Amino acid sequence: MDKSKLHLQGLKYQLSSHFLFNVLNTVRALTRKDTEKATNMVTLASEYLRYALHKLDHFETTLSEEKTGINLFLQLQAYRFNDTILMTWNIPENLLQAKIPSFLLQPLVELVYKRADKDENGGQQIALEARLKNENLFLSVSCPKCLPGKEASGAFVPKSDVEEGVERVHILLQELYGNKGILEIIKTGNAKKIQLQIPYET
Amino acid sequence: MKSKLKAIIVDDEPYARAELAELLAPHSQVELTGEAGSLTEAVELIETNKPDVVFLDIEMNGENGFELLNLCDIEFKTVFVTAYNQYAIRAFEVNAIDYLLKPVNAQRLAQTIKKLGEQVSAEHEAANELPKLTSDDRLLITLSRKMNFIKISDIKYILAAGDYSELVTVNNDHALVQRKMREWEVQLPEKNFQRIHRTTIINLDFVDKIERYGKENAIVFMKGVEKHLDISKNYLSELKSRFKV
Repeated sequence: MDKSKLHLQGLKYQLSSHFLFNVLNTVRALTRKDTEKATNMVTLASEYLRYALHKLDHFETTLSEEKTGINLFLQLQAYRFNDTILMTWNIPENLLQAKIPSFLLQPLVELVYKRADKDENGGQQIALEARLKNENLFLSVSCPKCLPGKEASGAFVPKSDVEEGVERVHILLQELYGNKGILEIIKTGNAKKIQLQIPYET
Repeated sequence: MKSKLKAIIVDDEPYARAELAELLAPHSQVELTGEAGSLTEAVELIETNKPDVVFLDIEMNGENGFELLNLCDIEFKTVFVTAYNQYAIRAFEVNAIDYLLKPVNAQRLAQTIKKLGEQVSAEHEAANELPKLTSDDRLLITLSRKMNFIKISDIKYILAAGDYSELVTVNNDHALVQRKMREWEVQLPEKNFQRIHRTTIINLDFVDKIERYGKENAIVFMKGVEKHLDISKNYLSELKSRFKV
């Protein structure tokens, strides 16, 4: 599969049914129940759509821009499920402008969000960490407290739509970086981490 | 429709449940009796409420709505309500009444409810019109390509097989019959026959022994049959109250 096809698939995934039509459905419910929330959600959804469509013309993005998109996405999810999502960003200042392929991180965040268990205050904790090691960029998304998981450590086998999104990332990494692009799931106790490694570029 | 259609909604999104409840409200023939946010909640709700219809989301927080159909012991109609369109064929395979896409179109939902009402009342009527059978009545049934008259009292047990059922006789002959479990339930003499599971009706005269299995379930061994049959939680309590000493 070539790069542009994978790129288009990335966009399609990000706007696909599990997201767009569910968001519209929530907005419709909110217009009856809570107009202020409905208004906010339309604004968020518009910003998110603008962000995603902008990426259509750009194969690459920066970590900083991806962070903006993911924050919008998580706010929309929090509205949909009435959840409190506690997102921690551990990206060192010098890596914010690092170049990464578009549509790379959101599927990972979505998978971890689906697996994150609620803490004692009802919040779901997710952390995204970036670090540089031997000219390789390591990006990982993790939940300290995850629901008892289905997947084992190691190789990734997709089963649902969200998992297929992650599988697409896996294929993209192989296509772009060959054996220098790595995606893996690391489990330690109740914590789960999905990590990818790509060559560092600025 | 004489009686109302009892309905429940299963969806992991609270607003999606609220929206569907709102859309169902104008339909007075539908009575919404509960909502569930997960499969575990749904199974419990279905067993207590015994709904006629379940409006079921498919992809829910790591769970798949299709699994509900295997987890439940009670028969109900399914209407899938989802933002995905790729499950439609599979929905058709499990005999779903309808497949609605989110956000749900109100006119489309009205068609679903019409269809639902027609099917449920047709099934009730068909079942009620069936004649009651007694133990010494006979049915003409094809066993291993040979037709024969089978006495009702010679039926050992019956297993569900989609719209058909599999009948096992005193001689352990098997026959596939075009009749649903619900129809058998109406027709067979209550004194001798008992439903013990969504998929099983037994003739009490052929029970060899019953063994408890865990806290709420049991298994039954039929005379001359090696394989046991499952008794579900619901039917076990029905059996207990029916035959308590």
